Amino acid sequence: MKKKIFYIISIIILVIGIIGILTFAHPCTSDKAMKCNASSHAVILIYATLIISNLVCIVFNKKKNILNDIINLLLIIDTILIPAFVIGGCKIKTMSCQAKTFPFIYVIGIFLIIINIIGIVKDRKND
Amino acid sequence: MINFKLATLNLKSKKFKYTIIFILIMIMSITLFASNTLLVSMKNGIETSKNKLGADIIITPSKYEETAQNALFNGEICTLTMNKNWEDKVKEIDGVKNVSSELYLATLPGASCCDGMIQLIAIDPNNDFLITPWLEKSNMQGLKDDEIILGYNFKIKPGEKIKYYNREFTVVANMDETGLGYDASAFISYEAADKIIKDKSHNGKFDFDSSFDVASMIFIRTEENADPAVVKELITARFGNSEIMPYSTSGKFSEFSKEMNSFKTFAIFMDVLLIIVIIISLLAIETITTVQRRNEIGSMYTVGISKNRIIKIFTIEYLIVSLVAIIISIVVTELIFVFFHEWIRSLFNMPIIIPGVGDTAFMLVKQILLSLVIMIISLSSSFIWIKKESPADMIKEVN
Repeated sequence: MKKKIFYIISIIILVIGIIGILTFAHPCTSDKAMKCNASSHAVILIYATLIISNLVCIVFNKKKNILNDIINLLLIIDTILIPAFVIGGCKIKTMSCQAKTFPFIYVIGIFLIIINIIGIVKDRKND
Repeated sequence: MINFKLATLNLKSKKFKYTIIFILIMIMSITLFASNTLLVSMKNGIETSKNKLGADIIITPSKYEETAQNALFNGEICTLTMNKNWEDKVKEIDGVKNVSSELYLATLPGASCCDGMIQLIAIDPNNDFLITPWLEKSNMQGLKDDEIILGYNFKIKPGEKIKYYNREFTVVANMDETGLGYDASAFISYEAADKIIKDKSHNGKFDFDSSFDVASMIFIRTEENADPAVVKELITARFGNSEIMPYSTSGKFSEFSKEMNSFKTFAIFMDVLLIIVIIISLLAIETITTVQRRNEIGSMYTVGISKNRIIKIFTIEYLIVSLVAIIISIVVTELIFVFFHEWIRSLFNMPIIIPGVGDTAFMLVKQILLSLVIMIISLSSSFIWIKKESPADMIKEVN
C-alpha cells in the first residue's frame, strides 16, 4: 500500500508538470520550429509515458518490480537531460524557455527523482 | 546521547504533532528566507548596477526618455536615435570629464540564437568607459566589425558564431553580470552597425543613413570635484527644451532604492505578522500537547528523571524538527531563486542579483537564531507548567 502512494504522488507531480508547461511555464512562442519547443514537447511526451507507466503499476502490479522503478527513474533523468544537453533551447537566459520552462522542468524532475528514490528505498526495506 | 535517543523515539510516536510543527516552521522559514533573499538580491542588484554603469549623467532623446531608461535598466528592446553631435556639444560643459555614446538597434526577429528580438548596441571602444574597463580585463583591444561581445545572459561562448541582420559575428567575450539591460544585449562596433544600416536588404528598417551620425544615449562621467547634479543643471540650462533630456544616474538609483524600501517595509510588516501567528500556533500546540503528556512526564519524574532533563528531552525534540524544517526550507528557497532567477527578475522592474554564499550563510544563521527565539517563547509556558506541577498531580487521572 505504501508503494502505491508514491505512484499516486508521482502522477500528481507529472500532471502538474504537463499543465505547467502548457500554461504558465510555456516555452517561447513562434511560428518557426524552435529547439525549446521541441524540448518541451519531448518532455511532455515522457511525462505522459510516465503517467501511464505509474497507472499500470498501481492497477496491475501485484509484485514489486524494481526494474520498472529504475526505468521510470531513468526516464525522469531524461526529462532533465533533454532541455539541458540533448535538444536544448534558446541561448539567452531571459527567454521564456530559459527563464520559466526549463527551470520548471528541472524542479519537477528533482521532486520526481526524490519521490522515486524514497519509493525504491521503502520498497527494498519492506523486502 | 540517551536524551537524543529518547527525543527521536518521542518524535516517532508523535508523528502528527511534529508534522504540524514541521509544516508551520517550514512556512515561516520559506517566507522569511525568500523575503530576505529578495531584499538582499535587490540591494546587490542596485549596488552592482551602480558600480558597473560608471556614468554620472545620461542624455537621452527627450521624446523617448522613458523608452531609453527602460532599455538601459530593464532591458526593453528598442531602436532610438538622436543626433550624435550632442556628444561634442556636451563635452564643452564645465565639469564633464568623459563622454561616450551608444547606439541601440533592435534586432530582427529570428536571430540565430533564438526567435525573440535582441538589443544590439553599437559602442566606440576608443572613448567608451562603460564596456571598456571590462574589455581591458579581457585583454581585448578594440572591436573589429565582425566581432561581438555578449551580455551575461547569453549562453554562447567566445569563439562561437552568431548571426544578426544576416551578418555573422564571432563572439569575442561575455560580460560579467551587471543587473542592467546590458545583460541581455550584444555589443558591436559603430563600423559594424554602419555596415548593417547600409545593407540594402534592410531598406526601410532604419530612418537614418549612417551609424556615425546618430546615437541613442550619451553617457557622461563628471570630474571628480564636480557635482553631477550641478553639471546636469548646466546641461539643462544650456540645451534644455531641445532634442535631449539629461538625467543623473544617482537619481535613478535612488528611485530604485525607494522602491526597494517600500517593498522592505511591506515585507517586514508581513514577516512580523507571520511570526506572531506562528508563535501563537506553536504556543497553543506545545501547551495543549504538554498537558496531554502529563502522565508521561509524571511517570518519568517518579522513576527519577529530573525536571531539567525532561525539559532537555522536549527541547531536543523541538530542535530536531526545527533544524530539519529550516534546512529543507532554505534548500527549497535557494533552488527556486537559482532556477527561477530570470523569472523573478522580470517581475520587478529593478536590477536583481542573487546573493552569494556569504550572504546566504549569514541569512541562514539569522534564521536559526530567530527559530531558537521562537522555540524559547513557544516552549516557555510548557516548561513553566512542568516546573510548577508536582509528580502526583501529573500522574493523577483527571476523569
